[in-house]
Amino acid sequence: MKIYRNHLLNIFYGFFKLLKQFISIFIGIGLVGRELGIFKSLLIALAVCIMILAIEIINWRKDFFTIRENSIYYQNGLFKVNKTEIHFSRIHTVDISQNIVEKVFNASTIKIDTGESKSKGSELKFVLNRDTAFYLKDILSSERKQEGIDETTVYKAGAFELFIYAVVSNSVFKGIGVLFVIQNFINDYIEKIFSINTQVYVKQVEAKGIYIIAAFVIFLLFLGIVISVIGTFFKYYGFKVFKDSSKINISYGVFNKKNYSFEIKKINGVNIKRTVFMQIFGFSTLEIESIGYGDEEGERAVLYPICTKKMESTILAGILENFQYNGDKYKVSRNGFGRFFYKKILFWIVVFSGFFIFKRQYAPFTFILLVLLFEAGILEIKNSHLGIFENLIYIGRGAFNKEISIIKVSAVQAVTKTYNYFQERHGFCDYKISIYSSSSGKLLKVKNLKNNILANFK
Amino acid sequence: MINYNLDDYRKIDKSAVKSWIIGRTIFSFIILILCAVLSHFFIVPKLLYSDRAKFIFYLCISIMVIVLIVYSYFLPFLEYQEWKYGIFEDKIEVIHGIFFKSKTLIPISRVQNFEIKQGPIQKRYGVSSIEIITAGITKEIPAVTSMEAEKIAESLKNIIQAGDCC
Repeated sequence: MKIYRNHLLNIFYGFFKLLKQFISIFIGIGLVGRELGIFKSLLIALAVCIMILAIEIINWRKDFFTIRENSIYYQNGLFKVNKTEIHFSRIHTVDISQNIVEKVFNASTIKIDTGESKSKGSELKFVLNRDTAFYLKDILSSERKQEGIDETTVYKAGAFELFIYAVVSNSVFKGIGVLFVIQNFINDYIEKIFSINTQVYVKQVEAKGIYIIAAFVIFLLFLGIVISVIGTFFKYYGFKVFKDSSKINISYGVFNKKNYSFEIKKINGVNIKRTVFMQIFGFSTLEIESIGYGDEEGERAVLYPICTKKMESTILAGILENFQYNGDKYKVSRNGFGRFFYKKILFWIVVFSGFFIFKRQYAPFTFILLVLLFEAGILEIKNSHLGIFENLIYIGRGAFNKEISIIKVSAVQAVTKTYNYFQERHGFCDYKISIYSSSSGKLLKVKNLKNNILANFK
Repeated sequence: MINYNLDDYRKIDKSAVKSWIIGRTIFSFIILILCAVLSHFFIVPKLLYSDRAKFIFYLCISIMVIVLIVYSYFLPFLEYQEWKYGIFEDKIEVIHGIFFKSKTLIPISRVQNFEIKQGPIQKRYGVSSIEIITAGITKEIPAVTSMEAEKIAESLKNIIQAGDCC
């Protein structure tokens, strides 16, 4: 039986991780360094490093897994030994990713998630040789016969789509954020070096008026778009999703390669997400709702990064035919509209009066906030949907970031309705729908809908 | 065999009110002490010069005290009035809340586990709380007599076994 261990690269990963935790010791050495002399303190630092390396090597040695007939056996730990056996049929997702360092050493990180909802993160995470990782992925899914990939169910995101995604997703703002940080930093720096009188600068700007500011904003926006386009391009380049007999496979990335797959049977739902711009231009991002995967940081179970309405329905029809919702979708009725604005207006009044009392000159600016809140309310009304049909529940929610979830009824754990006196009088209630997910327990909330929509949920 | 009446909603035990009052009184004291310490060291020294700020500060404190008093000595009675739970053949329903009523429906097939718990205050009054655990949320029925808790546990076990899902 072959024993698989982590790639040697993992020792260095662990080494630097531990080094980071031991940083206080090094600081301590640095502090007493003056009295000990450079040579002695370096010696101590070296000794600590060697100790850490030794720990890591032993850990590496003790961390292994083997493949048994139809399960994977995994053991780790030096003093407290953990032994885990995962049956193949319990595996929900297999994820293979590769970052730049790993690419140089031809290694990959493989992550295996089961549907266990208690623990956070992956059950099994190994850095392996790239070929071994893919070989393993084949073994893990070899129970089900590998059939030829049906060409009609391969969807690729082209350069143009990625470009649009970069522009309409919120990452433009991230790009601008980065720019602002850089700009602030440079400003401070330049001021220190050249000690420019900023007053003069401001006066110049005032003289030339609004044009310079406008040009500057447009320039910033442009740079933001460029940065986000480049970032998105590298991240999602070569996006490909295809379906074989029992799995959905997704792969993308240039420097950081991602490659993961979902068991179709174990998918609980689909999330369709739309940011503000996406809502305006009619695009959406598709994500998969599945246990285990997607709860680590930086991990998103993306099914397709950007698609138009038409594309969305073709992808759903092609890949997830079980998740096409054809039933009624209930909206907020007209006499429930007002309820979306009470709290927002109250919030605005508090903010406004706060400004009015303490900083009167800024008070008019809070009207911008009022407009935004109003817009949020309108979007919330527009985006709130709820429906149940056969074995699917359809939930639409959110204001600027719209999210539609189509979830299997069997994955819904509980439905909570909350209502106050006024809502009850009009037959409204707020819904909290708890779905089968990782330890945090995911709740989907929709507000002010008729209280009899989910009458036949059981 | 189901030896528990599964038809109607039931009220929780009356001693819930007492245990709530005791628990909340302790909680209120802790909060008040914390606030007093924090404001003595951090807020009061900074506010001494401004009458208006001082007024707002004392207003906030008095509102907080009133809220805590209402929370620990009045609301328990009303909450008790509104608390209802029902265990049926196919579902569990829990209804509670004064101003905002909440009604939770858990299909029996989704119940994974349940726990009977008894804290120190509850122990004095001979009541327990039952936690109904699903793969998503955990719902608690705060106070039933220990005997009833056993009964509920027994019948839940029967129902879960009978309606074996998944």
